[in-house]
Amino acid sequence: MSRQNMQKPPCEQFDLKAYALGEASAAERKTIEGHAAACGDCRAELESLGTLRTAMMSWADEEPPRRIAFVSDKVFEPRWWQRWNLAQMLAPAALAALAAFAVVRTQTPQAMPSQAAITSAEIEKRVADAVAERVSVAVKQAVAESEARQQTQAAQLVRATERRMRQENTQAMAQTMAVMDSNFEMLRKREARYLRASADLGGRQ
Amino acid sequence: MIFREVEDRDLVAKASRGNVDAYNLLVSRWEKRVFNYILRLVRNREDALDLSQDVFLKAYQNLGKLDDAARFAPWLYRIAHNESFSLLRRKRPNGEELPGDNEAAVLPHSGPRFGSSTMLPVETSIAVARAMERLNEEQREAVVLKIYEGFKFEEMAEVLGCPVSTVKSRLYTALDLLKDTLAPVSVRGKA
Repeated sequence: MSRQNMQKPPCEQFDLKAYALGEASAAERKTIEGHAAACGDCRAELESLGTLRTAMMSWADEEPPRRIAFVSDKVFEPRWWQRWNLAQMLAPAALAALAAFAVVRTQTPQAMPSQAAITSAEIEKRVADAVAERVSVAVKQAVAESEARQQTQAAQLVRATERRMRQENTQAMAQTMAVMDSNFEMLRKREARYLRASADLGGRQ
Repeated sequence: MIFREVEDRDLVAKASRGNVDAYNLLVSRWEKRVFNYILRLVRNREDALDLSQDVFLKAYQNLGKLDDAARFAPWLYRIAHNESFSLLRRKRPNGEELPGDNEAAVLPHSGPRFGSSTMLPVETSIAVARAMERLNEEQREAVVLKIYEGFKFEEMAEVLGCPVSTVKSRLYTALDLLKDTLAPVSVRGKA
């Protein structure tokens, strides 16, 4: 091995890729830069890595076609069928709890209110409920009648409009026909005049 | 970058305590990067979008398991890595070779030639994308994490679940392959 080769450090000991990728420490950077200043191969390799990186960056990021849904978005709320499944799962438990409650109630008659124990407040409540129910029915009926009346009026209006349009069309058609007849008559007279003039001209010749 | 990390850490802490708005902000901040990371791995936009959605949902559900809020990014990318490779495995029938093992099958012969005098910047980007397809999935992911996502070796090891030496080996091999493939492009880019 020559003296010159012994003095020159082998290039393999320098992690040029780590340097090019920004992973070298300050001390490593200094050593590599010092070496590259004197070594054409390593300088060329560093240059090649830098150019490669530039070329790689030409493959730019894309915008996502849609934004990622937030966890608070409605899309993450359970669907109706998921809720229905949940309801199905919970229904037996709810029924069992209801049955147990009913059994307990029937086995403890002291807990049931007697007819005599109905207070005036409860009577007032029942009356108010009955009145509210009747009012509700009456309002619904009135709304239904009003809607029916409006529908009838609308239908009458449509029929009247159609009738008027038909009449207008008929009148317009009659006027057009009259104008056409008049034009036709005028053309016929003009033709007769031309025929007479032509006959006169022929007689003279 | 440091300031940004602090902000992320605060948001992660808030989101862990149930603050949905904080998590939504994290999603807004990271969605494009995660989407592009996955896109460069799976190479299909719809898949990448679906996987990105899954990643953020899983991250939200498992936020309590994140020990160090400052490590949110590598942790998030780890989830993205798992989701992406899970899909790639599902899509690859048993015994099928990795893309890098059969270059001819994944690399179209038509299109711009490297070093062509008429090559445009957009063609350079196509050439890069095509060169990336020549890498196997592990090499490609290493390049994406380093070049496009800017992770440090240690963070990449965290994302990939392997030693730093393995990360460097994959990345360095990939860079050599890319250099060979893109040399004419690089020369032109330099000129």
